Amino acid sequence: MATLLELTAQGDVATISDESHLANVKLMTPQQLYELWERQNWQAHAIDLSKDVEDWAALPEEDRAEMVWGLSSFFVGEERVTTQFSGIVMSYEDQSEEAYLTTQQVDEARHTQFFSRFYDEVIGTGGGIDAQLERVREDLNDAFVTLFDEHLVDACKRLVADPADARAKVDFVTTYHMVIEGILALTGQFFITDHLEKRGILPGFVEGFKLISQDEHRHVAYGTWYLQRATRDNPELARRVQDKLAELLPVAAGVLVPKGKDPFGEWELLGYTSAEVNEFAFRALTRRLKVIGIGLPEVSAA
Amino acid sequence: MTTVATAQRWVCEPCGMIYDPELGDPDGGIPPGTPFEEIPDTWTCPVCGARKRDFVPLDE
Repeated sequence: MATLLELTAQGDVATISDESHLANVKLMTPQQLYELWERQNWQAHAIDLSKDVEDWAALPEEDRAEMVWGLSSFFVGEERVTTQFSGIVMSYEDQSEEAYLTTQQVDEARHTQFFSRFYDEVIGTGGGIDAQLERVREDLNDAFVTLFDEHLVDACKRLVADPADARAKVDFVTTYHMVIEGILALTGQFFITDHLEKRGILPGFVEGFKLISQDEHRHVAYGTWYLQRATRDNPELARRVQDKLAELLPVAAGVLVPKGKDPFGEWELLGYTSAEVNEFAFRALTRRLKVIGIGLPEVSAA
Repeated sequence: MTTVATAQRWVCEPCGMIYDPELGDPDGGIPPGTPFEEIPDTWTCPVCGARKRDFVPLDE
């Protein structure tokens, strides 16, 4: 079984093929993504969670514990990315990008609201968002705290200090859109949604989570557009993306490991093996990097 | 009929990425010449990570 880090260290076997057309994919502009946001708007407080309350009460304790671990990372993560997004909003380079970036910050706040509702009305953890987050943080693993409270916060601070710093913006987008959203969030959303749909439970949560995923897809599309544009004729910034990935991938690999499980061993969550989860995350990363036009970073699996 | 189905291109609603059956998605394990209908449900968009069900036929 290979971890995400080991898969990255081994490299992408697909690069030996010249069949890839990903570098020629046409990407949406921030103006198009803003207009898409208007069409895809939704309300976190309008989703019916009544059936979820019944389903949650009927779940075995072990299943609840697994769900809570996965959802806690999302709940705290959504709060973190809402709070730490102000710097990139300030870094807009034209009015269309400004319009798009403001929508993403609203999206992240809406996601936090949805998780707060679910924890309050279904799981039974209430007291308001601040109290909920304090409680939910007890479920996080150390790698999560390092990535979201240190790396993400530092990247935001550097952009706030100088929003016109292209290197700080590349670092932030790589941290946020490529690693946090593109690798971690999309991987977790895929497997949690798949698990719940197959079981036919928690329909309100699934509805909201799919809408959150829809927002995240738009966010990742923006990050891919930005990095492709920023690095296309700038080898220094392209190298910077690789360096930032090399720095963060060891941490990100740890975020995917359920609390208490051996990060270098095999584990299972919601019926999916660590091999399935790591392969999904790795494939997403390699394909997206090809769209951007840069190669995998050199990392050590040791 | 088969030819028509094979040639149909599909677009990812969340990001606009176009799946062209002629090209496939070799990086995603989909060989060139694969009609969209034959792609596994677990396949995702290489740009934004959307699922196969988030694609719609491209109106050309």
